[in-house]
Amino acid sequence: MLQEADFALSQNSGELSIDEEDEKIQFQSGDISGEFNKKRGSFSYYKKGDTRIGRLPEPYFWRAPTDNDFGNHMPSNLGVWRTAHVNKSLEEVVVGEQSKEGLPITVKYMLKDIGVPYTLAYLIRNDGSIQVTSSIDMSGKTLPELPRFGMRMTLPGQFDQVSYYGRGPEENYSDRKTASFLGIWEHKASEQKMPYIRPQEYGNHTDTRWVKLFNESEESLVITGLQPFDFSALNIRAEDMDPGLTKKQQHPTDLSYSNDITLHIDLLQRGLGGDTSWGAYPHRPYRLHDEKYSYSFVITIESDKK
Amino acid sequence: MSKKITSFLIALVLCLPLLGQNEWENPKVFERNKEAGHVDFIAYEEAAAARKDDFGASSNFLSLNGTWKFNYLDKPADRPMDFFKGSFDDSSWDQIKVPSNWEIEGFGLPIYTNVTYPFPKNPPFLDNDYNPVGTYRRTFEVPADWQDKAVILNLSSVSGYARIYVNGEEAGMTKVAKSPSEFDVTPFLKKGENVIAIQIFRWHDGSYLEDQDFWRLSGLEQDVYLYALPKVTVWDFFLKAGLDAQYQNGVFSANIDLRSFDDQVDQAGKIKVEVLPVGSSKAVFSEEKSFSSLNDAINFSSNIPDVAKWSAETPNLYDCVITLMDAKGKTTMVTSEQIGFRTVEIKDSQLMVNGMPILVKGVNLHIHDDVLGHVPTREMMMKDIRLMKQNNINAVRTSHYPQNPLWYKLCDQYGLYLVDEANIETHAMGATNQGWFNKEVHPAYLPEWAPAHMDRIQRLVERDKNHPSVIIWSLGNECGNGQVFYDGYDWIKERDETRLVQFEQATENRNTDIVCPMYPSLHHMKSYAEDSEKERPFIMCEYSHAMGNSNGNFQEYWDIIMSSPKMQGGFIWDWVDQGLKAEDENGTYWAYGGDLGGLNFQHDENFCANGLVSANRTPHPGLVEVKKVYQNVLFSWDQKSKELSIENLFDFTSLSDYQFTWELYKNGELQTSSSFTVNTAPHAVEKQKIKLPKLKGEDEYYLNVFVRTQSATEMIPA
Repeated sequence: MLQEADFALSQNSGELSIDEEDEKIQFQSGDISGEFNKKRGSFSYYKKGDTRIGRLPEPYFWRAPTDNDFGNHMPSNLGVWRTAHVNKSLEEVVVGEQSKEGLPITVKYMLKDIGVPYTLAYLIRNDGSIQVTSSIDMSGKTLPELPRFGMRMTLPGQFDQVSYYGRGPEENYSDRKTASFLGIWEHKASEQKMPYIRPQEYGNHTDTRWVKLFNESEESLVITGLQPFDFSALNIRAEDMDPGLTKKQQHPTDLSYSNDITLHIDLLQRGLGGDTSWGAYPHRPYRLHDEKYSYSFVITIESDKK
Repeated sequence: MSKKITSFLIALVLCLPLLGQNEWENPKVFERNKEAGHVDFIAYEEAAAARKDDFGASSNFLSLNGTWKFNYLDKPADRPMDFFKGSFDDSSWDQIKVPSNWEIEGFGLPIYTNVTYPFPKNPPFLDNDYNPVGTYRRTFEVPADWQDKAVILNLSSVSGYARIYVNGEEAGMTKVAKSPSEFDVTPFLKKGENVIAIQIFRWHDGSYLEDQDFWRLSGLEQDVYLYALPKVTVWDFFLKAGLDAQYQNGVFSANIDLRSFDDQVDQAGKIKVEVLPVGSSKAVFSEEKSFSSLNDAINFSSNIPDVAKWSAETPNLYDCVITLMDAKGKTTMVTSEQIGFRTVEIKDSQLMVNGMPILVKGVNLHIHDDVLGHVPTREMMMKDIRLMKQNNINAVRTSHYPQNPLWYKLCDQYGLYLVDEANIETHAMGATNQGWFNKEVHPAYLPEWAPAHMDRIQRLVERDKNHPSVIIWSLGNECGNGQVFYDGYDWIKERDETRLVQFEQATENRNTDIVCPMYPSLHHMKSYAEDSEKERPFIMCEYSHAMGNSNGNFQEYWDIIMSSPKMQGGFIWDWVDQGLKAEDENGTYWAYGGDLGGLNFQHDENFCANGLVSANRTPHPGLVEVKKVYQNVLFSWDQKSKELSIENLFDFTSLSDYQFTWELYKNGELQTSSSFTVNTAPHAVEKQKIKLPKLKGEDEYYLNVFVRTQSATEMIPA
């Protein structure tokens, strides 16, 4: 790489209109519109024309254990992260003042199983895009390393055509990416099948600048990082490839691929390791041991062709 | 008095196991009437046929592959006892194809276990309540023109304890898989229909030495054939094709062993040795010698100027044609073996081939076919070699036993360096660096097991000693380091001074020329790299365990390897997933340990699937990382001088035959590209100016540089 890009996104022009009524915040900019529910602390929908997204990304920290993960007892040692995203209480929703950047909404959660605060800071921008900043603060807690720090969302299967600017075309991970060159790559989510003899994590792409998922009307959901991010877009969820604390004699034929697409947008995922498969950890630079993590990306729907 | 009684009792106790001891539970008796190891070859009528090396085309070759009658039972007590008799009625028996593994063909259970033996550990004993017995029978006719010839039966690999009978007579017994078992069957053959009967026990004392991390499969798993030789014949030959001190001229020698199967035949004759480039009729060496008795040492030697050298990058081969004539000069047999001129040595703490320190970009290879089990085929070998060559892999460790003979010929031809390993693994009894174990029961430390060990080491060397691709012998894997491995090391060094010996279990003791640990930590590697007292090359026999989604931090290994001349690479564990093709109501999948009915038996789950490629050789995503890190051309960019630095890591190949392309990307889009060529010599670095357009600060740019073969070879497309 000759030069690192500047990832700060230029603020687009656009007229953002806000309509606040009881717990609902309706917003519109051009033909993009959406609704945020203050009581639930989440978006009820987000759409452009006929292209409509139900839910925005939600926190997720787990991955289907690889063979090396089993070797170093990740399924039990890191097990608290398997469901840490589930049992979260909504602590506070703060709707800020609309400024020239847009409308800020901050949603504070408590991940109750581990007693850790987790914050989603949204900025509904003037062009109708939504900037998401996800932050976790584990200060003062004794917690195992994170398998991943990220979010995921479910999209209807019609968003099958994936285009991204990042490392590809083969799957790659923080510690196995030197052969995956930066570029604009394309594939179909439905063609990404689990390639290993025993179901496990697969399909990740590191150093992603943006990813677009096109539907049949050639509109795309676009995720643009404010820093490089990892993504995968698969017709299967981690839960469906996770046998639990022990391996369960599973094979690729035991997987049922959904029509829906699970899109992961992660700041980082644990490396793969490989020094051994009977105890060795991924090397330290490829593990998530920090007390705090935070990252940002912008979601929008575009109708321009690929 | 009391002392006497005690010693008498001890003697009695010690003798008890020997009374009525089963032959398959006695390590001292590991063969009977079995030929010693020697070069595998077939006799031809004339040189042109010999040089084509097509066994099947020789009138001296009769394949016994095909359909045999077969009987399977779970325990020795139930086995048919008179199976070997000509009159035995096998009409109710099943049929089985040969070669095959009987568990794959539906007889008994395929078991995958890594370390733990699939039987209760109590060497040399087995659990004979479950020790399946397969009995094979078939008939054949001996070609009429074999009447005055000696006939050898070759079982290329028998997995199990096998007794072999021809026409009711015992031809011999073997307990060693993966190396050929040969028996002189001349006296047993008759005109017309002959019956061969082979009874194989799945487990035996030798199974304690075959504790490899693989599917435990049995039977006649490689070719079975007869071959005929003249009664006075060439039996073995050690062809040494080295280089002089300048690595320029060939230094050739041939030591030929003759053998007589009949003392009545005239023992005098002539022998001619020719060396010709493959495909050429112009000999670079030709000499004829007479002998008057078989005790004469028959040695040829010569310097051959300006030979085309062999290396994995330049697999230049010569045919060495050996012609035997009787005293009157009439040709009685011709055979031919391909040789390659090269040297292997350690200099300056480095492994050198032809005077160049090489990098070992290796993988470990088990014999595995997702449909056939342990049956090797040419198609699968070619698939493997092609994929390896296309992914910058230049070396294979034949983990953990000799491969099929064809493998070596193909590696000679296409160019791969081999560590050829003896069929010894005693893992469950204990291994060096893997915790305490009891040396009082470990076979590697017990004299009664020593001959069986030495036999496996000698068979490895004697069969494969003429292959240029074999640059290093390995004494075995995870088997302890008892006295027998010092003796084995010394024996090989005495027998073959043209190669090196490695032994992981020796760690840094004297019986290894290479320090070849498995799975060392990066910390250990760094300290070895920086230690100037270390005088042996460091080449990992296993590293980067490729199980499932793996091979992380592979570049980090190579950063250390590239930091010190004596760090020379390693062999990834391993090449191919050992999955067996299976089917259930959901579709086709590859079975692993615990599948195929093995769930309640000892098994080690999917630990058999550690490959860079899946069981049918579909690459796993990690293979591209290996290809990148194993690349033979390194690039770096100097932003100041706008120069691309090109380092040629090839040892014998200039970069002039390659096409270079650089591509400049702006925000992920190709902006401009250009091609160029360079003539960088092996191990040299060259700077190449590249004229880039003006780069704008707000955009992201990157430069990709590709190097591609310009002209296609059989293994690598352009």
